[in-house]
Amino acid sequence: MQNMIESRNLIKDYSSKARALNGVNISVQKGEIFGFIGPNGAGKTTFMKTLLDFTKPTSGEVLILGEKPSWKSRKYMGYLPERISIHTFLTAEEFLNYQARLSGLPSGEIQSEIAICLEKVKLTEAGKKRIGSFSKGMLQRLGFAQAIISKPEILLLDEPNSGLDPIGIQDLRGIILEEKKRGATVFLNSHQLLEVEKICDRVAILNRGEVVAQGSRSELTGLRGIEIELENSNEKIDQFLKELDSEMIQKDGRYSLNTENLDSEKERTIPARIVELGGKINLYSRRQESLEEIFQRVIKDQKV
Amino acid sequence: MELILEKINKIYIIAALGFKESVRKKLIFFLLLCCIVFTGSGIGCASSCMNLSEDEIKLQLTEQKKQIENMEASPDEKKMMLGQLQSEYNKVKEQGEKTFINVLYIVIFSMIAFWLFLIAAIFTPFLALNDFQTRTHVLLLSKSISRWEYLLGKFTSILTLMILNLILMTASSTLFLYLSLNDLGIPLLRSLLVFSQGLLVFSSMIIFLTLTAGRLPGIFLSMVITVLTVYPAISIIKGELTINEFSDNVFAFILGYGLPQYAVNYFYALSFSVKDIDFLKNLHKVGNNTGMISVMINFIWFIIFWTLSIFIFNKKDLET
Repeated sequence: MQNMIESRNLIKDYSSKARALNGVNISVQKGEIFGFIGPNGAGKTTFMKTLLDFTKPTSGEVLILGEKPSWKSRKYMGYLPERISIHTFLTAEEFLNYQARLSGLPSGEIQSEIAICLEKVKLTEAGKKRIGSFSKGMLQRLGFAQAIISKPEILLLDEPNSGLDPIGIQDLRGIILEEKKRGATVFLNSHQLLEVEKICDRVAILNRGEVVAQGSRSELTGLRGIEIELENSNEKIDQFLKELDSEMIQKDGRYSLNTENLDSEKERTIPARIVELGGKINLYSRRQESLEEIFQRVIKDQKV
Repeated sequence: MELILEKINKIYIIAALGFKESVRKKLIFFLLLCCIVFTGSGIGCASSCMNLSEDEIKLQLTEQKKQIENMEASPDEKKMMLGQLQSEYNKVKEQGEKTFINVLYIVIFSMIAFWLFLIAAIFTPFLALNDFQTRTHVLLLSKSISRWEYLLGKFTSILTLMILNLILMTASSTLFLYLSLNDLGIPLLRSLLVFSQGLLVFSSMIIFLTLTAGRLPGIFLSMVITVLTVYPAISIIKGELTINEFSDNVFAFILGYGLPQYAVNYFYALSFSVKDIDFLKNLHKVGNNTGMISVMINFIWFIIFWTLSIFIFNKKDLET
């Protein structure tokens, strides 16, 4: 699988005391949607800036399609910043025209691509309006349109949902998935973990400039667990479950167990053993951590 | 070749965007209006000064005529004296007309130079780096355009705006000269090219200083440097200094040749227009202004400023 974005031991210092990135190692593969999450000040934007060659790493390296970031590598990229600022004196069509020309799109294709992109982001009717009159949501949509106008191989999206209403968010999700279908690789920087969870194939969690977890959702959900609800319980059952997980949570006949360190063979025998010990099971379900839980656990672990 | 054309195209795109910005924000109309007001005020000022001195001469002539008529002399002698007086008056008037045209050139050209100096000093840093204040540079620079192409595109739009201003001011002055004096103002047109060189170097210097020190210090420093070059120039015009030999006057040599040449280009450009005024006969000796040397030194300054500007701009961290 081809690495579209790769960083090796990337370090970025803004001063001798301020280290924004501390040995970041990630690789983003072709055609995947990669989520980059982390608390404020974790270094996500600095990482984006190094990808765009807006800032140079102090040491280590970052590669876009095997090359160091430069104006040339930006040819393969479309970028949507967190805070969109566009020349307000232009109309949406004029702005897209400039962006398309700067991207090196052949002049014969520009007008048709503008029309397609405006339609995708549902701004066709506003195409001839001055950007100065646009709402924040419309600006965000227009920003997205300029990011995809040259059909880039890599899409860098920094908080793409900011300023969008729920319908806008849904629309945007659809377009991102369409871009993935086209073959684009999406690098998504977001605080909205639910959204990241819905669309990302893999995720990296960044905290204080370091990648503290990285992988697919199932890989990251190392903390597996089960929820059991019993109609009748007894001491033997309590003892048995406690042996499986000493930190088990028990409340009103409901047991919540962490089975991360339990081999799956043993896990499979649990219901039978409970019945054997005289228990009657009302509910038995496997539990998987949500991305939010993973995020909180990982960040909490690092603080400790 | 294809790569060069692609780069030129990108510089053009940024320049066109910058020019559109000045048109849409009505900045260009403001500048054009101001330039007409400045040129008009210069012409008006020169005309009223000259009319005043002509009125004074007429008054003196009338008084002298009266004195001759009251003298105790024969009518033939009086006639002869009055004839001499009239011919002297005619000579003075003719000389006055020549001086008038020269003064007009100086005043008009000075107004043009002063106005361009002001707009270059004030608008260049704002227009060139306004994108960084409004963060509109982010989306432009996220495309496959290098930083020097972006900076040069911005600069091109500003320079185009100023040269347009220069051309309009020269054209309106020429039209005035033609309508009022039947003079086509050719010397003003000839000086355009020299003066554009000065503008090119001066604006490049401002871009460099703004990138290095920030907007306001950049404006201040560029003005100080320009004023510094005026000092030796005036001494040279007065004939007090010569800078033919380096050892003659190191200070004047450095200021005359070693600093960016807005003022020096101005004096040299002015020397095309003014030829008959004695105390300005040394204008063409000011600074680095002998034909090809002038072009070369201006070009070297331009390259130095752009190399430094691009180096600094490439080193800068860009905000998103």
